[in-house]
Amino acid sequence: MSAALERRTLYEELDRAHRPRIARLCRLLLADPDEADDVTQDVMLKLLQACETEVRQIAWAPWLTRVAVNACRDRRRGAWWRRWRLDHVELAEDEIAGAGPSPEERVLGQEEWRLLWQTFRRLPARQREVFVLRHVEGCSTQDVSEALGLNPGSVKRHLFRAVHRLRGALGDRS
Amino acid sequence: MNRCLGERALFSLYEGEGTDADRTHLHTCAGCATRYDQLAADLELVRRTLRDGPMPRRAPRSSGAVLWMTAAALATVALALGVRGFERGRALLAEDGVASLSLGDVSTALFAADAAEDALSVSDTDREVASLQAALRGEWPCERQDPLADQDCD
Repeated sequence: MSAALERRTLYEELDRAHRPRIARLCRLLLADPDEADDVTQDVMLKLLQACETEVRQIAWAPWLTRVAVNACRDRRRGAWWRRWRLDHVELAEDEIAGAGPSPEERVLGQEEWRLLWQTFRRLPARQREVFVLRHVEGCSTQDVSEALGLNPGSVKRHLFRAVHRLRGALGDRS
Repeated sequence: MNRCLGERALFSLYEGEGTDADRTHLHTCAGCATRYDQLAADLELVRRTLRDGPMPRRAPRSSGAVLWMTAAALATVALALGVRGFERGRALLAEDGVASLSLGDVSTALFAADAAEDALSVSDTDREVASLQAALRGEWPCERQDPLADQDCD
């Protein structure tokens, strides 16, 4: 098998294995499905370029996470006006992306579900990144600190604050 | 010591950290165990909601809010520019040594200029009348009256 074909195969395997995860990560970090699709595409393009040019051994999963986080940060910085315009979250029932209420909505109730998403979107970017990587993607604290360039103590502090706020949105459910 | 665990300590235990004393307490305190279970349930619910649930679309701010915010931003910029211009004007005056000018000073200076002009015009008129009268008498007034003229004029 030629080197070019090997690289192409590597890319296709990585794309198949990681695209859903990267797409979900971008959707949560940007909280905007349309922008997330664009950024996911950009990240996968960088992956293709890296597969074609990189000669070192790379741990692709954390590499993709880092690239995706940085791409989302760049997108947030670049489109501040659009984000500001759309930051006023009024989650009308007919504006839910997806069809029908999910099990979570049924458990939470529409209002709690709305409040949870609103709180999540209003988390400071760093807290959102830490929470998503640690509790949605299931990365270890060490992996999160490496992906975000933070020390583990900072990761824990951001995580605790994010959890505190998100639980506050759920209210007293006991 | 048998104090119940705080939120941070409970979260540390949930994260697989925390002290042995806290962990021991959690196993012996029904209240803390209940709170711990609630924390775990909440986090699981948040995780499933964010990961698997539908994502709400963002709604744009109302056009009224946008207009108000834009107007406020423009007013702030105008105010900032005005203050900056005022400060710059003061700085220029200070450079010319007239930084302490007040409205009174300006008024005095204006009226003083008017009075000088009046005095000058009266003086010119007198001189013109005298010249006219002299001309009617067939004389010419000595140019010595003009302080700038040659002193030897006859």
